[in-house]
Amino acid sequence: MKISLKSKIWSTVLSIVLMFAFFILIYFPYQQQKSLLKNFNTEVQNLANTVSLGVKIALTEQNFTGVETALDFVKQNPHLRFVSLVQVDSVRNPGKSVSVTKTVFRTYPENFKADPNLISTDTMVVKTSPFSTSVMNGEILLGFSTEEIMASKAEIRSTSIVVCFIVLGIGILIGFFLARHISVPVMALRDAALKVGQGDRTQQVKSFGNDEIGELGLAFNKMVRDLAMAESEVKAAQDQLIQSEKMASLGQMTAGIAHEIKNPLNFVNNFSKLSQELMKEMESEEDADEKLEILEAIKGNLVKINHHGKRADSIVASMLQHSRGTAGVKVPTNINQLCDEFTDLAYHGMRATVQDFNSAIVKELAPDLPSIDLIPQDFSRVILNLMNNAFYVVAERFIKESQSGNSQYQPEVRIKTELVDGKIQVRIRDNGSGIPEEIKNKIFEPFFTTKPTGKGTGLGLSLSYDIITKEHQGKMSVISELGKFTEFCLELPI
Amino acid sequence: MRKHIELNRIPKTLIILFVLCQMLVFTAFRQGDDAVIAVIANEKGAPASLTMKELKTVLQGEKQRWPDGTRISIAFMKTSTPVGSSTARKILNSSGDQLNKLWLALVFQGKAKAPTFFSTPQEMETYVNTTAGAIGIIDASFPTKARVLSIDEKKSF
Repeated sequence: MKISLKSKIWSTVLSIVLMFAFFILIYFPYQQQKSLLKNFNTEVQNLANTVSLGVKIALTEQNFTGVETALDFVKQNPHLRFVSLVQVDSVRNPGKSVSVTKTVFRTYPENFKADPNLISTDTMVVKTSPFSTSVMNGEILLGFSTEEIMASKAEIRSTSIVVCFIVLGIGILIGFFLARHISVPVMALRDAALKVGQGDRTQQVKSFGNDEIGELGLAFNKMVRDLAMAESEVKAAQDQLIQSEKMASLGQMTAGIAHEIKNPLNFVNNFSKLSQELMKEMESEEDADEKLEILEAIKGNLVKINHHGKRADSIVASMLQHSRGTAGVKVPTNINQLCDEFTDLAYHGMRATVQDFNSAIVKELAPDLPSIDLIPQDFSRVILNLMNNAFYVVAERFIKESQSGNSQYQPEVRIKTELVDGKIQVRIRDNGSGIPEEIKNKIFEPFFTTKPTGKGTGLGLSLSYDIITKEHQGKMSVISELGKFTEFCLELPI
Repeated sequence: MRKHIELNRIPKTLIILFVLCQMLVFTAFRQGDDAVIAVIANEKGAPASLTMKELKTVLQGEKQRWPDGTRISIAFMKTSTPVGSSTARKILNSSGDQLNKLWLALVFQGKAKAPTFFSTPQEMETYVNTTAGAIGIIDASFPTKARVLSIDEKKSF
């Protein structure tokens, strides 16, 4: 059961107040009443003893001053109910046993019917004090009303109730004070911490004073500021890393690009050279029909030069698009064309870095795929990453198999696009070494890589995953069998 | 042994008569031992003469003030003295213990001011002379300078 801080504070305060109330309302009054009653009993007993002594002196010394003074003192007490002089006689019975008889000799006030065997009750304290003289044996029986005790009890009780209410009031004030100075700041801190946890790094709590909670608030504010700063630094570092990743893939791509551009450039060179020769030939030709024919040939060459120039331009545009750091805009894109180009770029990039490397490339691109809205530079990065990885693992395996003398291994990378259940699937499959089961759930984590230091940042698959799932609301999954294949599947909604 | 035998021969009646005679003689002696007493009083308060009945009323605490309004203060010789016991017997017709009990009862119930008991006549005389309304019983043979009251027209009894 969750108990809030405020509840705990109030429970503590109320417990203390209740304990205090118990002591004030019950324990202390009880003890005080007990003490009062004890003192009252002692006082009455002392008075009885004094009167008794006075009687004894009066009867033995014939000095009545003492008893008169003692009685005056007793009679002046407003709580006196009665004072009796009881005569005690021992009577010898016929059977020689002795019995004691008590007779009330005198009582003050006279109208009080005193019983020599009276005992204390709730309303009256009765005390006896014996005396023995040659004149008579007896005892003083003194009865005092407990009205004073009762009045004191009532006074104690009313005082206790007043004190209890004061304590309760003080307790409530303390509760409010604690709630205001502890609970409220702590709850404000909790709320701010929750918002910080949800990503709001602008949260700051107001100053709570100079005590520990105030210091906690200041520390929290500093922590959030530091966190925001650290996060921006991490973000900058991440951006830097992503840029590095881009540049790394760009570098890898350069070789492919060079290869891709070289073909159209060769065409441009060859056709332009051929056109130059045809121009010379046309200059020396006198037959108009022949000249017209040569001119048509030159025209055809110019169309081809233009076509291959555009091709080179497209490759360069793709390269620029890939390396551009700004957030892209979704535009209708032909996925097949994009997959085709970047597969080739990746392959030629790999061939440039690994000597004697050849791989079969199987492209199964569904011809009826519709154009879908994509961010081309980001999606091309995904294809490039996956293809780079695919060619990397088959090249690695190729090298390993070659070193172990196994020439049977034929590297193969497949890319397949198809329309499944209204979604476009892109499958990239290699026949490399496969992914061990224990790391399969880690490969999409940032900075996780199996490549040697310097060959991979560990961000390729992580970024690809984010691009597919977050930017394009798609799915990205992997299936693999160790020593046989790995297949990544991208699923994009139309 | 012989003497014992002779005693046994004396009639019991004679022995009883002898004992009674002895008691009679003792009682007569005690009666003869009674002190002659006189009543003295302060100059203020008590009248010059009182009847025995009036005196008894005063000494039993039944009267609190003299006719002139002065509060009565009673002085007794202690009952252990001959004058004290004579006072109890002659005036109050009681023993010393009964006198004590009488006054204890009166004082206990606050009906009268307690009397003062003295051991010597000098002390009593001084008390009576210096206390307004005081009355005391004293040995008649004591040469007192205090005012002596007549009781039933007698200065002593």
